[in-house]
Amino acid sequence: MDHITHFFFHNILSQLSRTGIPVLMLLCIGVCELAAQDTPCNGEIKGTIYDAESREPLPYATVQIKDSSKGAVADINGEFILKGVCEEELDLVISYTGYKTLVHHHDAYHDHPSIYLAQAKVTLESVVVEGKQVEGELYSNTVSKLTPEEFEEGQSASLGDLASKISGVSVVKTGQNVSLPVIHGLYSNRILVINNGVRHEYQSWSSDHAPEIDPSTANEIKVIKGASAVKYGVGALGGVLLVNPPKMELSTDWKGDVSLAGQSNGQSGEGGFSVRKGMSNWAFMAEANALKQGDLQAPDYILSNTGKEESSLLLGTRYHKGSFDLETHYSRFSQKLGILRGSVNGNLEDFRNALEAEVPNDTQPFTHEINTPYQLVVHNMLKVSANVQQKEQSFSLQYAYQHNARQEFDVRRGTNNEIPSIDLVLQTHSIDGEWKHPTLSGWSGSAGLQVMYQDNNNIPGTNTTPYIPNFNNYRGGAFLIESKEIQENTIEWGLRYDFQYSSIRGRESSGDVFRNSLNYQNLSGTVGWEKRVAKHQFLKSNFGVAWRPPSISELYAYGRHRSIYEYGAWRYTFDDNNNVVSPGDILTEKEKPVDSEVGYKWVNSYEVRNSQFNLELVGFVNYLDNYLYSRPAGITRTARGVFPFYITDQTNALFVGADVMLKWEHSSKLASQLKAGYIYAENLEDGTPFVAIAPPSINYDLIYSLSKVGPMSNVSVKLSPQFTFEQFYHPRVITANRVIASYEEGVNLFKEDDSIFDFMAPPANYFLLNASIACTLYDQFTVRFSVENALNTNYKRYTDVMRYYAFDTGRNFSLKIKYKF
Amino acid sequence: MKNFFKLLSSAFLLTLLFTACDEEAPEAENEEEVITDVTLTFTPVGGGTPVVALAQDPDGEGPASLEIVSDIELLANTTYDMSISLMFISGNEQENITEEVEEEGAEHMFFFGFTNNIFGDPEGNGNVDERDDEVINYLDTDENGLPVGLETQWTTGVAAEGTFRVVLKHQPDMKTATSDYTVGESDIDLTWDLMIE
Repeated sequence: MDHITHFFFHNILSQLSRTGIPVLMLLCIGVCELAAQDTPCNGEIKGTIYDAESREPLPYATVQIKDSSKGAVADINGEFILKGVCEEELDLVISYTGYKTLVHHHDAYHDHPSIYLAQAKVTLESVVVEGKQVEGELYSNTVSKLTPEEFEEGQSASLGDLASKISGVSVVKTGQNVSLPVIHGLYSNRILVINNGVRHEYQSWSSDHAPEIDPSTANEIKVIKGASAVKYGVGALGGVLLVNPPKMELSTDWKGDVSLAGQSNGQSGEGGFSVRKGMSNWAFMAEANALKQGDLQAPDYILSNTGKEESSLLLGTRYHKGSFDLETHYSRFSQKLGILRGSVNGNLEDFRNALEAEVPNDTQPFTHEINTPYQLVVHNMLKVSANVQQKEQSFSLQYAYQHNARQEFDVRRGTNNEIPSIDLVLQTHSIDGEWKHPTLSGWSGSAGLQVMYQDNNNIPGTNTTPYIPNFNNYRGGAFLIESKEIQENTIEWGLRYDFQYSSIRGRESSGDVFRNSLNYQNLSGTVGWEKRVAKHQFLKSNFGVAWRPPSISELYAYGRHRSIYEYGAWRYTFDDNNNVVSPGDILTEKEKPVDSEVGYKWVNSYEVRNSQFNLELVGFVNYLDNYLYSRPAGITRTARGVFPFYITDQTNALFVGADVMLKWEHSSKLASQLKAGYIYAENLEDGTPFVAIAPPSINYDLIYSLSKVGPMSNVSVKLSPQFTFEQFYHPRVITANRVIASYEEGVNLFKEDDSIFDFMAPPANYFLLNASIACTLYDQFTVRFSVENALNTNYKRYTDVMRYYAFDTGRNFSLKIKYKF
Repeated sequence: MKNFFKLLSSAFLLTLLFTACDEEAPEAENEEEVITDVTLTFTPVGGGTPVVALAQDPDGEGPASLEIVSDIELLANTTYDMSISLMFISGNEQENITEEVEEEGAEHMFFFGFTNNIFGDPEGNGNVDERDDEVINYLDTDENGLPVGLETQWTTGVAAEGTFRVVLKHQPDMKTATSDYTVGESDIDLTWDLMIE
């Protein structure tokens, strides 16, 4: 291990010092000469060319060395060989009639590039993949992503809403603008979001907090449906959402776009631009986007105070020399999200009144202004990553700093209305190192180390006892992943160890300080198998173990959250009559151990990928040991009135489900796409369902496309009917009135039966119709016009907390124009 | 394997060295959101001993319920001025919330509900179910001339027993001459037993 690290540092350092780049974050200085490989003119470049869409080999494409007469033509398998190459680095021009020409900067270290050429008529861009690239390092992982068209269409939406277009992904909403992606029924701190190769660190302890990432500065999003803890670490119980920025290619001309968009619902306006340029050694990119949206509208009324303001910036540079690459990224995302005014309530009776109100309370005329309650979040990230690519192996080292500032403004008395009631700054430093080792008796794989330091602080001046204590987390992990191909099979395994040390300081409502320090550690692992059963047909099976320590709020929460009270595991105990009471002092792990949550997820999929027919059939079972959840435990009365209270408890949970994605090109003009999913979730200890599990739904798209009509090209017309079923398997319903009445009668409703309940039955099934038309004008303008909820249907989403107060949004027309250069 | 973990922890320690650790607890805050003590003081207009009715919730947001420490026991055929005091008390922490409500009178209003005709004046059952300004004798007004209810007047009739409910509504930008009990958020909602002897 020592030898490896030594080697690794030396390589990077030598490159750094040769290029005169300031040595950042490196702990020791050393210089060694890297032998210059003077290739005589018998150099050889091999590669394979594929169709970007079908991913099938593309025969007879031309490969030309830029500014030279040397070239080659790919054979019937898409493979090409360029012989007698003198240069170690050069630009290849790959072209084929009807396809987008691609310039690829080739160097001797990146062997055998896979070139994916996109047809001129599609939105997809041509790309090059150097070496084997597998998401999550596992072949057996089921990975789903949006097509570039779907991605572009939904880019103005929040990350959660956009991701929910992927089969197996749904969305939990705690406000019209607060959308959390859900993978196979799990969300928040049970999934990971990897933004630009970095674990997105945010206040993930509450379902009120959506990841602060702007899809409009991303290039693609993917979902790994397995428990991918081995590669990504603590928390990946449900899966991983990957958000990738555009790649910075060398030797490319100025490229970019300017876009403008508007939507009728919320009267929003959005503008953005991006530029990219690649020289022989340098490349850079810049992207910016800004959006302002006013109050959204349900079919019959304004949803007052649901406006949002967003701005995002992404800057990147890449330096490349020989085997060495250094990338620097800076991104900033700021958000102001209004929360429906009518969802604010003081006590259970207010809540009941809100539930019964035909029109949400305090509905005002439309405005772009945002008042309390709202959230203000700014997320900054700086990332520096270095990569050394050798023929057989590669090394990478990455440092990232994230600064996440979150302020939540509630409706409060007088001047406090201007003061946030939650004001937190979370700073995270992380270092990731990885070594992809040379193949050893058929086994290829990688080993890595990750360390993280995190500091969470309350910013004083909220005039209320902090809900979350201050804490510092120190985390370290190491992993090893191996895979081997045996004929048509790939088998793989991975192992990982993590530990986390936390130091916690908080305040009780009396103002007294409490302190604690905690240690958690665990092993996680994975085994998987992929088989190519026939041409374009794959079977995948992956079993993964993942874990997470209890979150700070699950241990320390204390107080009101909307119309309920919540107590973390160490803020309550039981008296002799088994009633919940406050412990004298806050408990610790000695008095009440709270074990880590461990998930065992088995995902199987059958995939068919060819140009006419694309099928993804996924089935999964996820067993969660020590599943942390909130359950009702009693009813209390405070000066505000009567409230049910919830305590954090642990149980064992089972999530089982299946989803399907089918894409079928009936002819060159007509295509269909079908997505459907089903999830069953049960609390194994009492056999009851969990709340807010997405009901089954079916989404269908009918796409009609024409390659040319007058000045328009790539014309596509899409009709998308969607049907969502009522959730029939849901927790019992206990109305607010019943809770109040039982308090008056002195009966603890939850003593006999402490299973989860809901104040309202799940909403009825609903049908939505969306449609869009998109085309390219004069080759440079893309225009997209769409309508969502075309029938202006009144509907409620079961996984949206706002369903208690209002219908979801009504009809929305949107128009987006993009100019590409 | 042991050496491996040693390496791991030394890498980890290096990170620690690189980051300045502050181990500070959050600063103490003035709790202005939670109300633990509500006191109604009925002072006879013609002089005499004031009647004090107290409701207390020492654990604030904790699971233990608020307790009505003392009922309202009034004399028959007497006129009282009633004032309301709101406090947050926990350990050595104390915060007077009455002052805040007074300052922000324009966004607050007390509503009262009681057993029908238990008082001589006001008659009826109060303005919780239906707002009618004439019903309650508000003695204070906000900057817009609308009633607040920290000070009110009550005249008892004959001996009777019943209940007395006090609701404080927070109605920022919503309080008008007609905004009723269903508008805004409840800051206080308490019911006392009322005895008139």
